[in-house]
Amino acid sequence: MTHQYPALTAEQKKELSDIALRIVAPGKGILAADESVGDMAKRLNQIGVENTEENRRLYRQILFSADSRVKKCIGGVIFFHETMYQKADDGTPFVQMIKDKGIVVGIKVDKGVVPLAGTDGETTTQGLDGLSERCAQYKKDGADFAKWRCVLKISENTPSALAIMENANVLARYASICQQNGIVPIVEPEILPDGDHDLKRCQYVTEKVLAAVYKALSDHHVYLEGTLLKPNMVTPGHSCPTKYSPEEIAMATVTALRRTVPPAVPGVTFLSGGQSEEEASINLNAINTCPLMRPWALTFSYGRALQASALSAWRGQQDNATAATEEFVKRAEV
Amino acid sequence: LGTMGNRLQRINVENTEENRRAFREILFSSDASISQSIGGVILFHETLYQKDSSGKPFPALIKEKGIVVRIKLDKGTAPLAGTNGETTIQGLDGLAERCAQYKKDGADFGKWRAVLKITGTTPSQLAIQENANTLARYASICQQHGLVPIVEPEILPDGDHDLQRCQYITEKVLAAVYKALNDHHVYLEGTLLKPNMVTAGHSCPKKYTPQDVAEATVTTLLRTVPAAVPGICFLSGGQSEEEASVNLNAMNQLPVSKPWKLTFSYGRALQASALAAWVGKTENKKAAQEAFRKRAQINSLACKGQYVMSGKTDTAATQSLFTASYTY
Repeated sequence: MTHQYPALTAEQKKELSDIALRIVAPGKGILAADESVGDMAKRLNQIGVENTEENRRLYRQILFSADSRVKKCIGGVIFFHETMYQKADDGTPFVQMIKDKGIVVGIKVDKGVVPLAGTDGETTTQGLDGLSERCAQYKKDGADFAKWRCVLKISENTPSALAIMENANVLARYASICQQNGIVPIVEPEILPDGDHDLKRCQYVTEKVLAAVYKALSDHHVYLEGTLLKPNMVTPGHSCPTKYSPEEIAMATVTALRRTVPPAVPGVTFLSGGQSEEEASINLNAINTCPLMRPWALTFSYGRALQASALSAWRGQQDNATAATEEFVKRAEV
Repeated sequence: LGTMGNRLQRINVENTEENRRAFREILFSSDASISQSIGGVILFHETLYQKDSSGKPFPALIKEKGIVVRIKLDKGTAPLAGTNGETTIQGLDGLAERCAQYKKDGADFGKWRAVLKITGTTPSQLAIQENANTLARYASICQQHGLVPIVEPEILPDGDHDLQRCQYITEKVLAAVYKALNDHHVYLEGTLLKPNMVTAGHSCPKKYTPQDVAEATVTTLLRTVPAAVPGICFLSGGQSEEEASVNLNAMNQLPVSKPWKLTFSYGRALQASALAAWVGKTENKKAAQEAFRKRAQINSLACKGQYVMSGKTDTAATQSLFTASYTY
């Protein structure tokens, strides 16, 4: 091994660390409003609304025009590229609206999953090409953090060693590039809840995956204090016959994290992974009251779980806009 | 054996089995208050089977004070061909059987020391990976036999590198160690870590304060050691008794939250004063025990960040205990 070539200056490190801490300040979490056009189609379809750019803009406007009560609960909002450059009816850019509430703006930067040949339907995530230039531009346009989602699944023979190693590596490259451009990378190695595996198996797999992720981050000289982790909670598969209490889920989740996530990481923002709004909040609460010592902030980064009520309240009707925003605020406060 | 030889030589006592036994008896027959400062004692194979002058086996003597017994399990270094003088550790052969036997004979913890060094070209990728792997194998086997493995990846203080370089290397090494422990399915909650503090090399011209050492060390640990590890007991690595205590104290005073206990696993740094007080004479037994007890208590305070330097330390405490390329 050779000498250290510092990846970041002290000033760069401080900026990254400050941003990370602001996002996970006590009581705050992240609103993931970064659904791609395809994802939005599904959501809007469920409430009978057409998936046009205008409707997507209107919907996000509802969320972003929530009053300042959300300041206490939301530390950051993740945008999709399209939303980053949209404006409210009165011409205020969404980015501006969010920053005015003292909330940090984030941007989804991955370009979706691609298959890993020779595996049982496993994937890696693309988006590294020109990532540095894109990050620099997003930083100029107001973003201070980014999100990149990797996906793994549990079955008899997955996740394979290749899938774990490849996804960990790509997450580390993304994180390294982000930090070079003053952007805090949220590292998201999502293990899907699909399947009939039990809680223990999920815990085992989650520990292996997270250990690989943090080794890769170390190998790539990533500054941990300027990152956040967005993992799945440890839960049984969706079709698992055994039921578990929130306390069991909390214990399994916190134990897995304690064994793999270095204390230097300032915060862990859980994805909801298909849990209902209520389930996600109850589990997060149990996690935060778990008797094991937790050195990182533990909070949320919810998309569906924060927005479902708001979506149904809206149903594309303008007049329902305020009611919808109200639903959103209520959910955030919980 | 060779190590005791060095120590006894410093006080001009002949390195016989009886003298080695006598010195350890002094330490182990300290009165029971020592258990407030000492949680565990590491024994060498010979010592595990020795007895005090009344015929009581050492492990029993130690355990009745409520102190746990640890046994050194490695069999020393072996060279790694094709590297710049780097080594790995042997001792895995028949380790399972040895662990089972030691457990029966009173040991609760195992110790295994891997060694790495810093130069322009080391530690190499191979040395890091190989030592991390053997540590993980040893840890796995220990746990199968009810022994808690103390994981010791010592990066020697030899050299003129600065504090930053030591920090960088220590971070890389510890990251590799914990990845290996994970790969080998080791139960972290049932292990302890025994690392070097992050310090400049012994011949580094630049001087650093205990505060510098404390910050560099704790930052490194926060970046690499999972919260599930219950405790970290630092090796003194050639620091003087006083230096080692002061540095530990500074770490425990740092206003940053640490999820593991930070304490000590000192050999030289706890025994130097005791050895100097004993000088091989039975009549000095009480004086030696007193010196040992004092040193232990100082370190105990340092674990809680409560140690205040008195300024009037004896010569033995400040004497550098550095031996070049220290081998066991």
